[in-house]
Amino acid sequence: MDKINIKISEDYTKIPGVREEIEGDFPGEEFLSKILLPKFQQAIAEKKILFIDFDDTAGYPTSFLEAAFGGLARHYKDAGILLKNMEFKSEDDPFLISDVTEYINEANNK
Amino acid sequence: MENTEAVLNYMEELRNAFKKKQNVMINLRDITNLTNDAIVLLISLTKNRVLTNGVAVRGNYPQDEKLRKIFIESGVFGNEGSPDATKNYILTRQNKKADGKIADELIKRATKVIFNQEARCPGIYKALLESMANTCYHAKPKEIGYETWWLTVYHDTVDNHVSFAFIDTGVGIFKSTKMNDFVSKFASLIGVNDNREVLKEIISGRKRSSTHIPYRGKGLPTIFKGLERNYYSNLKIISNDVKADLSKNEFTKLNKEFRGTFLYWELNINNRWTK
Repeated sequence: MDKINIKISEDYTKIPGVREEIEGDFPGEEFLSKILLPKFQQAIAEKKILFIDFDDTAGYPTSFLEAAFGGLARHYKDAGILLKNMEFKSEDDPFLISDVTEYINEANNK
Repeated sequence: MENTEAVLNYMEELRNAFKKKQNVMINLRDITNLTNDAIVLLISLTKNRVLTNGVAVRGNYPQDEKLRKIFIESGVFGNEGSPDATKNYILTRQNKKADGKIADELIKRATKVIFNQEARCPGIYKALLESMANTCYHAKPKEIGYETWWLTVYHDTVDNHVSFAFIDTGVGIFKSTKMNDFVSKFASLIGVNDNREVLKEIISGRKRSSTHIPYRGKGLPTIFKGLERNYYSNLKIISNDVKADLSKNEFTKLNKEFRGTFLYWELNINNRWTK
């Protein structure tokens, strides 16, 4: 299946922030609204996989990841649609993909 | 973390003197042993312009050579030299918000002295940003972004590790706007009114399942997870009436309350990093 790519270090920032803009720059909520959600919608419409490359940033605060990926799962009220249509790459941090998957799966439990 | 209550009493004396705009003279001359966390706590407080209230902090240096060098380099008495990789003391930074640039800068400096090259430590970055963000909520209710955090990074050349000491002088973890509701509900549900138990619940991540209280904050559990994942070592927390040495799973109730939050961890050559 064809892919749409997001490389966060190039498409958004090398220094991701936390959850909300009020807490600091480059928040997860902004990444969700400006990049992740539109690209995901495009991927679904075009029947493509959204491929997300997490490498080459300083790291990812949990609240950034939860706001972005948990937020996307809350938007669709469904974790399955995300996990079915997204692929992740993280060589810098071996725990990152399982963390993101966890946030997606737990997003609608709250 | 050693003699915590004595250190906190001393800090309180300093704070009171600053409040009254009394001249402060810190006598360090006869000190022969001071742990890294106490050093950075003292530095963080004396370099905090809000706390010092415009009072110039003067003092003398320890006779002990190693301690003397640390304090001279730290600029604790306002004579900070330029940052240099050969020095123990690296930098102190402050802000009110979560600032990725500062975290990235300090990690690069730290990794340069530990790994001989500028590198990235995703786990430390994560812990720093979450600590900074928590400060936003450790202030008075509805005053998000009011409180300042201070971060001091210090290189122990003897053991070759870098200490990260993060301090905010807000209301503390257990009295924060995020936690107030949880603490009271936890107390009524479990029948325990002990912040040591609250902290254990928070860091274990059991909080939501045991109380069913919606809570989005994953900051503290994340910081604890960083220890388990070997992102850093020797993680310690002091907040309100709790002191926790998480590397040793020791939780102590303090008789003397610390007004704010103090987080401490170390990066050494065996911790996880990436180029």
